[in-house]
Amino acid sequence: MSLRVLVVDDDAGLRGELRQLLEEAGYQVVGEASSGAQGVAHALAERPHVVISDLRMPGELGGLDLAARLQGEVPVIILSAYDDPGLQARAREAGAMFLIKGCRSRVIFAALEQAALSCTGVP
Amino acid sequence: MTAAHTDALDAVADGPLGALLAATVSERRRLERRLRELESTDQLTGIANRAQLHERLAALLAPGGVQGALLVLDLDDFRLVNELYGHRHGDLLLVEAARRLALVASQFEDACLARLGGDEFALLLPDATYREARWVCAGLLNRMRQPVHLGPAEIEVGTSIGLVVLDGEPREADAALRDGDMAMYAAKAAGKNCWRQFEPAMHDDLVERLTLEGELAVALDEDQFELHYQPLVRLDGSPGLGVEALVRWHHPERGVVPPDTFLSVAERGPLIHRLGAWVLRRACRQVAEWSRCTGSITLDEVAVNVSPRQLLDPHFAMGVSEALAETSADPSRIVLEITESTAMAPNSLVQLHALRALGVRLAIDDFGTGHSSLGRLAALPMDALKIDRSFVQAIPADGEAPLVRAMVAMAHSLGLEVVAEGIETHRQLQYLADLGCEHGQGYLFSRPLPAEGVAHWMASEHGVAHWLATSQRVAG
Repeated sequence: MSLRVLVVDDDAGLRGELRQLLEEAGYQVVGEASSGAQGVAHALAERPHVVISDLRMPGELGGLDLAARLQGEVPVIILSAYDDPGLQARAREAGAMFLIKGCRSRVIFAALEQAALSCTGVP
Repeated sequence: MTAAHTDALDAVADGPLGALLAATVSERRRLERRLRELESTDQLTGIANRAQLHERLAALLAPGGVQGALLVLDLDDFRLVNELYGHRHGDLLLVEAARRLALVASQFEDACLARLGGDEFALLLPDATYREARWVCAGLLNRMRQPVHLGPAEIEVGTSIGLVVLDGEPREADAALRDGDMAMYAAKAAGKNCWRQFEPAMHDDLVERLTLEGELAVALDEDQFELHYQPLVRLDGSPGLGVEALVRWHHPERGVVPPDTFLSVAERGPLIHRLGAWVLRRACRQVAEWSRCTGSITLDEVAVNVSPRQLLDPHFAMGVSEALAETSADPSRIVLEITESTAMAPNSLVQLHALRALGVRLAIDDFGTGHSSLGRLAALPMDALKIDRSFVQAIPADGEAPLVRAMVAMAHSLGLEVVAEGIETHRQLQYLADLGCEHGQGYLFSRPLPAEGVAHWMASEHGVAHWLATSQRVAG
């Protein structure tokens, strides 16, 4: 069974590239969202195995807020343009993994498998 | 060698002379290592230089090499950052750019990040797949455009990226770098802050751009340009009219060349100074001519766009002064429009004061699209503020536009008049007039017109009289 993933980022170009990267590797992208609030709503409705979310997005909910809202519901991987250790620590506190935008694809795939396994036992 | 000789040598090696020799050899090796580092490292950023990148690329492209990707990256408008903020801050920006790129490079084994020169960088990613390289481009664009602090200012600098996919076939390193450059220039031509993958047709596009640059110079010599004028209507219903001068190019073979096409080519080289000077002189001449033929409706002012590079030219104020003197134009009827980011830059202030001393009026153009510090805005010698069309067009059919309301209130509290750009509907007109916005410009009133068309428009039933009546109803 392929993992079902939701992608949340306000940068449409980046969302598109990430979707293609994941789909080519056999993951199923069940949806995209361009804000934290939209991401939380989609995640609760679609129940993906994992949410990959940007850190900073316009609107009230950023990636860390999204992770906090979904903690215990859906595992979250934060993809960030920032390498601030403080942000990484806050992501961990919110129960999320932390990756850098533009990292190797195999690092994303490994994080997806680990996040899904740690939460639901899938696959 | 006898045992006696060996013993003697051992004694020397163990003694002070031996220690001295060992230290000398060690120092020599350290210096050689340092020399090799200097030869292959960029001194400002500490990353590899062009020579090292070339060596790594040549090895990857040699027979038996592996697939991978080459990214050529160039910071957008870096020259402008240098001119606006000074070279020290420009250097800081380059160091920060290298740091941001290095983080992504560190995710790949054997990656080589280099500064090719100026604000151009290259990232060689051996073993990256095509899809992965595209993902890296998207991630880097996102990462690079995060705000950077340069002294008291916070700026966003975009990056244009050219991507070359290396398929493992042997080829010359110089050819791969040239392809990367071409793809990067294609990204610049596509509007900057984006990435493009190299395609052979890009070579033709580059030739086309260079041809256009040559033809622009000829066009200036042969007077192929013309000014059109877009009316600026007073929204309070009082008489009076302004216009914004907009340059048009009638190419003898290509026909009308869109301004975006030739202005971006002119901006890249010294032609922008010649073109800008031509526009200013022609507009001043037109102001003087219109002043002589006063009709029932007064033409208050002509606004002229000033490009960032023009404003930063130390001789610009002198050029404006000469144009005013030569044409006998009333300086108070000339408005120089300067974009928000240029007006805000520390190096602009002296020039703005010099222009103001000539008696011309100054307006901040496209307000809302840049980054303004309110403190700096209050300190600028400005007369008016033009709200960017994107905000006007976002005014809802019914309901509030809080950003527009805040901009008008802020401008008025600073003593600035407000011009709303891009008015296309009666609802937008009504809303802006209710806010007390002084002037409006947009297709609702008129498209840009040739000089003789302005007089005709003013007299026509759809001209300014019609809008005066409408505005008076709105204001009343």
